[in-house]
Amino acid sequence: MSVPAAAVIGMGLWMPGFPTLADWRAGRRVPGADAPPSRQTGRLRRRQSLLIGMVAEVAAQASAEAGVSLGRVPIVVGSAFGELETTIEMLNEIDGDGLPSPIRFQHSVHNSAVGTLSIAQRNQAPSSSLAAGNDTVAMVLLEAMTQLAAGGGEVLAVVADEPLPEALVPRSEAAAVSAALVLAPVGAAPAAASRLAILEDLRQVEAASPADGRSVEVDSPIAAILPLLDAIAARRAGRIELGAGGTSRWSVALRQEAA
Amino acid sequence: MPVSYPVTAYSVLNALGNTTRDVVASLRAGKTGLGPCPLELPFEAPTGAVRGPLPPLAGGLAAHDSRTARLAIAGLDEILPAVRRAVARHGAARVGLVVGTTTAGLARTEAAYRERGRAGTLPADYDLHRQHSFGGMLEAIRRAAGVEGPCTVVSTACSASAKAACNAIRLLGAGVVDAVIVGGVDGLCQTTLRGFHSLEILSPEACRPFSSARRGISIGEGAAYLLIERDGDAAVVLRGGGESSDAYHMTAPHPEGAGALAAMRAALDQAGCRPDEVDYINAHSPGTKLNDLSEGRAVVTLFGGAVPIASTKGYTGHLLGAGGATEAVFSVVAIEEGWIPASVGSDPVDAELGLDVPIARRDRPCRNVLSNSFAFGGSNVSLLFGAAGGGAAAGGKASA
Repeated sequence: MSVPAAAVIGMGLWMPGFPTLADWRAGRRVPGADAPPSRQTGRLRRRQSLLIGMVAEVAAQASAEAGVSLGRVPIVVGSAFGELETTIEMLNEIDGDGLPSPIRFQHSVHNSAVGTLSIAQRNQAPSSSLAAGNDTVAMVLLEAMTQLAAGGGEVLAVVADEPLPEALVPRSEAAAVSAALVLAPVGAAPAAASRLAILEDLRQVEAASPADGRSVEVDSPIAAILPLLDAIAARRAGRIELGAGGTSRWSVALRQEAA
Repeated sequence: MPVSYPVTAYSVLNALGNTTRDVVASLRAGKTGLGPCPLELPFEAPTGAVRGPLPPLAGGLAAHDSRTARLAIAGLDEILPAVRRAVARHGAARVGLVVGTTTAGLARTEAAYRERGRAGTLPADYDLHRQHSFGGMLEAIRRAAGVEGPCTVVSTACSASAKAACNAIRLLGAGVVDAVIVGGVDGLCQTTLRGFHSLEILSPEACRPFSSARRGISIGEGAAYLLIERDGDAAVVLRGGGESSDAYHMTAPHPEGAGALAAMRAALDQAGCRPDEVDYINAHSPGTKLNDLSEGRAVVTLFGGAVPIASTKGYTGHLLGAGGATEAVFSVVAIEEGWIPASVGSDPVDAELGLDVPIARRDRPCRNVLSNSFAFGGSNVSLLFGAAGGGAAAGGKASA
């Protein structure tokens, strides 16, 4: 395994009550921050799922820090579960002979968040939308890092999941999580951006065994990115697991450069 | 260095047949697989349904059971011997898996949710993680394939499994793996059929891509896989993958086909291939006028309207997340066997498009074939396949 290293040049985070990475790291719950800012106006709220709103918010935060235009940066979005809230609404609508609302249906696809963002920003660069269960964070980093290796420039990597719906997963305690990183090749980060850290040696600690028993399903696999963001913000170095308690076999090494 | 990765095996399963041989034979014969929809719907809509019962998932995979997972596992069967050879050759950790899907286990959740409405609780064996989620289906495929490299689902609606091939090019290019199973799978479900009906683009008759008599799209289901390796014996190589975003509208394509044009150009650029070296274009065209005008303008701009272009949606229906991989297989077959399928349903062709749409099969060598997949969210992908060594492949090569 030889995934080329990448520099982190911007970060973003939004969780209910914690509208920024700084708020979350300080444990500072912000009153009223129960929805991403783009979702707080009436008209958009009706048309935007929580997932779409979260992706737009953390993408804006990370691209602003990196000094990268959302109008041209390639975007990779990872979400283990996709548009759950919209799916439940459609399941209610199709009861009997009913039809889903056309607006809801067109926003039910997994790439709805990245599509909405690319349309809003008039961004014609390639974009993608991935899911890989407990390995979702790792696979988004892998796709972003291999995109950099192939094409240079910068890549915006976003991960987000809504809470699991009570109707389908009773008693889940998973909360909404969203986060973003802007990555650039190590040798060519934009001059305006300060490198926050270097990600390198993304790999599986040990190979998954195809024949053994079940994997352990996690209700919020996206939360695996939080220790990584915390370590980058704290300017720590070392290997970071991309799934708590071995729920993902993937990990990445974090290196700090001398100032 | 230009991209050139051998397609060492493939398999395909859809309304045209339950084996690769049957699917290709029906395509060659110009025989549609579209027929009455097996789901109960409050409207008429022919679909491309896979015939016969699909075996339930057995053993350790039983907990992942859903119609889409059954299609995924049934479709994988034929390619498994080649996958095992790749695992033996490269090591399981050096073989990756990238699967395009839009619905994963949504049909299973529809049934469970109906049961919840009737009985007040979800069925005891319903499991969102293993049966509904993308990762649950992915894990079932991974275990059945016996691979241990990077595994992910790409879910960019109807471009998903074409985009999976672009991921494969990057994984191979970065040296992360030596082989990738590129797959696509989707199953029929109520939400999809009713949703397209709600958008008023579902055809009440079998879809007619590129035809002046078109009335909309037909939906199908199926699975397809291609084994792409760093090197190996194959008649056909994957030469390029081009991607773009329309940044225009969630469902309507860019009217001038700007995104489609960018994706096709990028695929040719990656391969170092000139437009006049492309002998056939497998169109996205699902059967709507907006799509035909958009794709048609992009194709005329780049190729001048002289390259034969056919849509296979009239055979299989629009396979959504499985479409890109399925049509990639059809493109490989066109090169291997030297024929361009009839564009079923296209007669009479819409003259306004200015395209060369074959309404009967054309037997002719194909050096390079471009395959287009465009999607909701303005996600565009174009793949280029070519004969290994640059000439047209002589004779056929059995899959798997």
